[in-house]
Amino acid sequence: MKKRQASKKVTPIENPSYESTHALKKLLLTVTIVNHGQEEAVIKFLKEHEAGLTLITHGYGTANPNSYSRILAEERKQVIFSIIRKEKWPSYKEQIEKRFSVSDYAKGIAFCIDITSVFGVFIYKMLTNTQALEKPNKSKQIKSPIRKRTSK
Amino acid sequence: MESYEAIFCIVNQGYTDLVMEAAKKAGARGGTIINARGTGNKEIEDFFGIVVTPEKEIVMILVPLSIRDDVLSAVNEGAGMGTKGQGIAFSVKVSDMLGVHTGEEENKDGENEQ
Repeated sequence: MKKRQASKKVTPIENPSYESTHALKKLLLTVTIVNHGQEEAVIKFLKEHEAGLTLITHGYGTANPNSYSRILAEERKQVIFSIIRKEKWPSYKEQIEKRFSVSDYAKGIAFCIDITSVFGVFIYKMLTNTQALEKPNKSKQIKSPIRKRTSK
Repeated sequence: MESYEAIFCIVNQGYTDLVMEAAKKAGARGGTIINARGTGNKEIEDFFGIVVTPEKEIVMILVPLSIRDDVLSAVNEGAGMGTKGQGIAFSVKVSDMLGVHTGEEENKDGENEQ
């Protein structure tokens, strides 16, 4: 029996496993608050980190600039809500931290909240950006019902 | 790092000052306001005799966990349903954050200088 098992050929796995492509991944709602006009850089980072959904709104800061810092010196803000995978947050945080340190005007606030539930598998796949990992549907060639006349 | 909470307060448009005044008294530093629109139920309005203004504003405030309850109760008193602001406030746990001056860095710098 042992000899038979040893003689079996093990085929190398080329395709990624089902678990690696379809495992449930935790989602985060990230909120990034930046000064007016600074949102483009944030959106670029979010795209790099495969953000499933992004919403940009206008906002106003309420802090007194003389009180403690110059971060919130500009009243007009851009608030960016986005949903990303939890595994992407550390690298996103690193990038956004670098961006905030460019200048006083580029400073902002970013935080994340755990998303506990999502309605529907399709929505989940859209938010986690895993829909692209599905096998592409091969379109079958549709035969035309009209037969060509063959000349005798 | 001390854990933080994000307080969301939904109030009628023009009453965000009430929220921020109350929150600052309780120890919050600042917040961000975004515009929103409410979808009140007319039957509920008639039953309770209140008018729900559709134009709303949402105030987002990041606070340490230690003062969360104080801020929430202060906001409820200053801009709650009993006031013209008709505010609803709730808090959610923040997993991670950056860009907020926690005071820890300043203390560290001070120690290094000494």
